[in-house]
Amino acid sequence: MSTISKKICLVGDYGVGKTSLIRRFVDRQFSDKYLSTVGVKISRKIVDLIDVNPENKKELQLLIWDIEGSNKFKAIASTYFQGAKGAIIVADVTQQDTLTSISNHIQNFLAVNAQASIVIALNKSDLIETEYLEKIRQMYQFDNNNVLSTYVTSAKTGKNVDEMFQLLSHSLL
Amino acid sequence: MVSSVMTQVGNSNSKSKRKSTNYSTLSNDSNEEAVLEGFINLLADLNIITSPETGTLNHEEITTIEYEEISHQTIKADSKQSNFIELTESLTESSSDAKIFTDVEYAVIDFQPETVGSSSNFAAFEQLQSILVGPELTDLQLITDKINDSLSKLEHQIYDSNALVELLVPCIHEILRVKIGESKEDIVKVITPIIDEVIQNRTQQSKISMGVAFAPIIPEAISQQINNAPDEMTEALAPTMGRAIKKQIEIEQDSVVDALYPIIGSTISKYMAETIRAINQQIEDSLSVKGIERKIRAKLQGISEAELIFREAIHFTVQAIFLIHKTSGLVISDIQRLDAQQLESEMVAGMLTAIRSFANDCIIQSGAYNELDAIEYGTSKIILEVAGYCYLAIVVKGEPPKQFISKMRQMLINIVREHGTIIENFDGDPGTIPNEINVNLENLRDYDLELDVNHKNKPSPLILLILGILGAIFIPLGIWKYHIGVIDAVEEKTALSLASAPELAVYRLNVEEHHGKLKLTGRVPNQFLSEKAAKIASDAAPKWSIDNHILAVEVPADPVTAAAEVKRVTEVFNQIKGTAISTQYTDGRVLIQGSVRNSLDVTMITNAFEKIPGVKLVSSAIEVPPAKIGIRFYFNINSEALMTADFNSKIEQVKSFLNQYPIKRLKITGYSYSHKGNSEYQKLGLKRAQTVKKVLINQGIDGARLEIAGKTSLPPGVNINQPEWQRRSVVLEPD
Repeated sequence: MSTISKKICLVGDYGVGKTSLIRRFVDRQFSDKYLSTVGVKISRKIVDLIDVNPENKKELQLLIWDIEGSNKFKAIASTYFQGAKGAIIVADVTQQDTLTSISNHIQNFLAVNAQASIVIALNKSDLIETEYLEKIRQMYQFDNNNVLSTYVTSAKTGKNVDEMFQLLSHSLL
Repeated sequence: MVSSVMTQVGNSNSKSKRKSTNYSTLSNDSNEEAVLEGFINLLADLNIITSPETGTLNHEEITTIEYEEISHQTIKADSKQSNFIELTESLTESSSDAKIFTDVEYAVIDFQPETVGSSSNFAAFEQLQSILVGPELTDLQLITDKINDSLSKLEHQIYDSNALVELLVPCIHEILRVKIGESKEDIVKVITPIIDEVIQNRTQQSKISMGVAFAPIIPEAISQQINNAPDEMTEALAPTMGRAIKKQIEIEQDSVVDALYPIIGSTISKYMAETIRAINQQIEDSLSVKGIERKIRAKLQGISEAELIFREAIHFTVQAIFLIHKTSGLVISDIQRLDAQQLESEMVAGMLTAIRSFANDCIIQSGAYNELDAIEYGTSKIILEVAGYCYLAIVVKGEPPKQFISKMRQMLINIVREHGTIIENFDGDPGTIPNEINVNLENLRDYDLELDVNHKNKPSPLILLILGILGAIFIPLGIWKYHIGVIDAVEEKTALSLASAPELAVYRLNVEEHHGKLKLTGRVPNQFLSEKAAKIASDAAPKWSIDNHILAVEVPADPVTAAAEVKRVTEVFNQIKGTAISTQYTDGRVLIQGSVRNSLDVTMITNAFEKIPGVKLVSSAIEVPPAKIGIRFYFNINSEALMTADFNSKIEQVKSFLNQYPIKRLKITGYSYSHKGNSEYQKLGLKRAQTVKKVLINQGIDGARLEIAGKTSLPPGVNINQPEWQRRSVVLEPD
């Protein structure tokens, strides 16, 4: 069983919880020593893709590029998108402007990788009453073939974090 | 126009209908009443109706009755009228044919009420006709004329092509639009077979207009095709790319230079920077004492001075090599030292890719085309070399030698050239990468080991220099010594050979090499000995040419010495079996007497004495005794069977004799004694001889040297008194 590597990007405005999502997903493999001053943090995790047929079990090494959301790296961000097969666009459900930016992020990412897959993560869902979450999720469904799904996530509770990454991982192969 | 006419006709008809069906509507109009009254009167005059009783019926009833009567009495006329109305209505609806109107006209004209037979009645009918349908007939005539005109125009438009085109042009667009809306596929099927010809014809007519038409879509079409079938586009464009670039250079060289600068410029600038740095270093140290010393050492080691400095300071080692996909940062090949700490290749590759992107986009100023080519930290360095869709990141310690850089670049170029497509399409699966790439990079990783081995195996230049000098001295010396040794050996061997020859041993003969030849010098008493010496020397050194300078000096022979020599030679010959000679030497003459085994010995002895110095004449009185062979074979009485006593011994003696006298033949005589000379006995004797001959031939003796005979006499040396068995023998005698 060979390990196939794929690059994905986490994109979103500053402070929406991208790094926290990665920290939650990669568990102990996350290391801050790769923090850099060039506006990107790279981490990796090996994902076992579950298949109906056990013989088709595959191991996928996700190289997760956490692209800093501050404006000073906005110009370089699109360069970091190159070669990525997928992206998670992250927004903060408690901040309307980050939700509004989702479309721009999708557009910017697809401009570089037209064939890539995208998952939307509406993060910090633990701060919103449960009855409103589904409504918010419905509001941010995108009619685009590249966008696989929209998740309401919480890096704090781990809600939908693994599911979101699993879905994206499956779409990469 | 036509529709307005129809409207008028319709109005007229409707008016008629109203008159026929609802007269009560006229009752309030006095004029109309008057007309109606006149009309009724007229009908009465025509006996169509009876005059009504005034005031007996109300107006409505009268009208109804009148109408009913009219209906009954003018059935035929009514039916004609009905036909007319129907035709008129149909004309109003469809205006189908002018002939209809003609028929109506005839119907009205043909209207002949059966009850009317006189001329007054006809006039009344005409009046009635005029009243009833007069205006309509007039209108009808006008309509007919107009319809005829319209039909003529229509016919003209149909049969005149120009007019038909004018007629249809406004409709074609609408027809096509409707047809496309209904069935687009049909239109496509119709147009598809000819669309290429249409384009070709139009192109022939006007290339410019076709170019204008297609120009807006060509860029998009090419983009689409590149996305859809990149290989096909590549194959289509590749053959002409070279020519296109040449042409573009001819047209506008500057733009080509600008376009290629990002590729060539960065490469050239990188090489220039390295070159200038190397030159600077050399210049800085060139005049110092240490620099001069270093120069000498660098020269001795065959490397540059700068390289020597770095090598002495830091030992160069390759720690890891990563071949990385340029855009995604995924690791294509990961080669690391097994004996060192393993780096997380994917993380390193990702960060290097991010740093490269950051540097290229943010640090390098706009308009400058450069690549991040190294990241240095302490004594280590990450060398970055970009080509195609990948770049090499090599983690090294120490300063990489130029040969390493050169080898790395050449290897990367080869990898990109041979596997460029695979690398371009690399999607994270290491199984798609040929193993050849890993093998090549492993070779590059082991460069420092190879370097060490080469250095260890490479002898010091100083030692080489010394060895060279020594070699220059000793090798020719050795060759010379060897040559001298060979010559000495040949000379020695030749001298020994000359000394070993008895006739030359007493003379001092010298042998020496001279200009590649063996030179013989010395003196001998005669030319014979001189030639003898040359022959011996030639046999001793067959590969050498002989330069014979031995002088033949006729020295007066010493009689005593000559006599002694004669005596000595005589004694030598007497040692030979069968030889018994004696000599007398007097005044240079030698007289030989005695006997030898054969005549050959006589010749040999005579020659030997002639060669003795001081001997001028040799007289030979040597006798050669006849050959004898005392062998006899015996037989039983009256038998030809051989008695085998001493058989083998006898055979050996025969062989020995024949060998001793190779030119001799043997006569084999068979004896069978008969004092009467009986022929039977003679035959028996012959048979006995044949038996012996056969036996000798079987023992390997040549039959040609054997001759047989049969005799009845007594064998030689046998008389009648001797035992009888001696008479029955075969005697062998030299022939």
